Amino acid sequence: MNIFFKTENKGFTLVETLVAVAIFATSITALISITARGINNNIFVKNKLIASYLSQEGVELVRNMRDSAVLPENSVPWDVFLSDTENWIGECYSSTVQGSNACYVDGATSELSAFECIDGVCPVLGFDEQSSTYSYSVITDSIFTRTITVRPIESGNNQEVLVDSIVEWSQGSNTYRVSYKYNLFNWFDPPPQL
Amino acid sequence: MKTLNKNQKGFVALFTVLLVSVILSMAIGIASISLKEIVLSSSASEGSRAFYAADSGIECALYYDRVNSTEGAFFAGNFMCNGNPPINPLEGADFESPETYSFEIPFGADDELCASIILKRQITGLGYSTLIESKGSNIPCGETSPKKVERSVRVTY
Repeated sequence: MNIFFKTENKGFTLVETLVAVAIFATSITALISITARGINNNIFVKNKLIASYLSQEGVELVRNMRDSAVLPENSVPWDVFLSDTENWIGECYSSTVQGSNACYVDGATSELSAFECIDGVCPVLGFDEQSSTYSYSVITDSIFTRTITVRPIESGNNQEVLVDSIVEWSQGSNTYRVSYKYNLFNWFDPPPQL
Repeated sequence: MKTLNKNQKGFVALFTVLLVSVILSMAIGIASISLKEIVLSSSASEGSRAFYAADSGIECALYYDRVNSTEGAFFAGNFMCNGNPPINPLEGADFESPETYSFEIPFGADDELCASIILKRQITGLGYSTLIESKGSNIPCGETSPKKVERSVRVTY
């Protein structure tokens, strides 16, 4: 009698164990996949924050150049500021809305200047581990590429430009981008007569 | 012996359910943390887009106040920012003293951003005092969305 009961109980426990292991395995799989996705999201969010700061820096660099050009010691005329490829943003500026000129500006140098991105392909930003800064003079490549374009606004009397700073990076098989747009006006003296 | 065996019958299932609930709560915790991270980082980057729209709006208002205003009045002529004329001017705007004017201007390459601008000017003992307030948002003008983020810039002179 005792033996009979024991065998019956043993059988039940085996089925029960199988079911339990199945449920357990499912939940572990769920945990692992959620953790993996969480880690991926973490990396994505970190990169997105870095990209958004780099993109903001791009906008601010162009604005800084505009503001320096307005200063009395430079007082560069607006059209020279836009078209001068040596000192100002001529490499970034397309004279038409459809233009494809693009440039990159190194924020880590004291004298800002814009360089041409040949065929619209800008170099990858370098990352310096020691100072935690991004610049183009560093050999170690980061994953970020920053493209700055400056285009005129249609019907803007050539007094207004749209600055677009795009930072792109790839993670896994996807390419992500952050883009900030900023409108700059002609602040040069004397004010234009409209 | 019989009762003990009976009690042990459900033990493995109970134990699994307990373990699974612990594991699932861990999983839900991780998922909610990473979801919050995405929401936070999105709000940070959308906030910057809105800020640049607000700053563009301030540039626009300051520029046209500089080149296009006559003594004490805003924008003597027509003006356009980002290729768009001002829209949604405030009904019944008060043009007496203090002079107030408000409008919205779409910004961004495809008008996907909006700046809503309020101008106030009044006569003081020293001449005129001006206040420009620009509220930038990350969605097009006239639209509402739960994802709307606003950043505001105020200039006085």
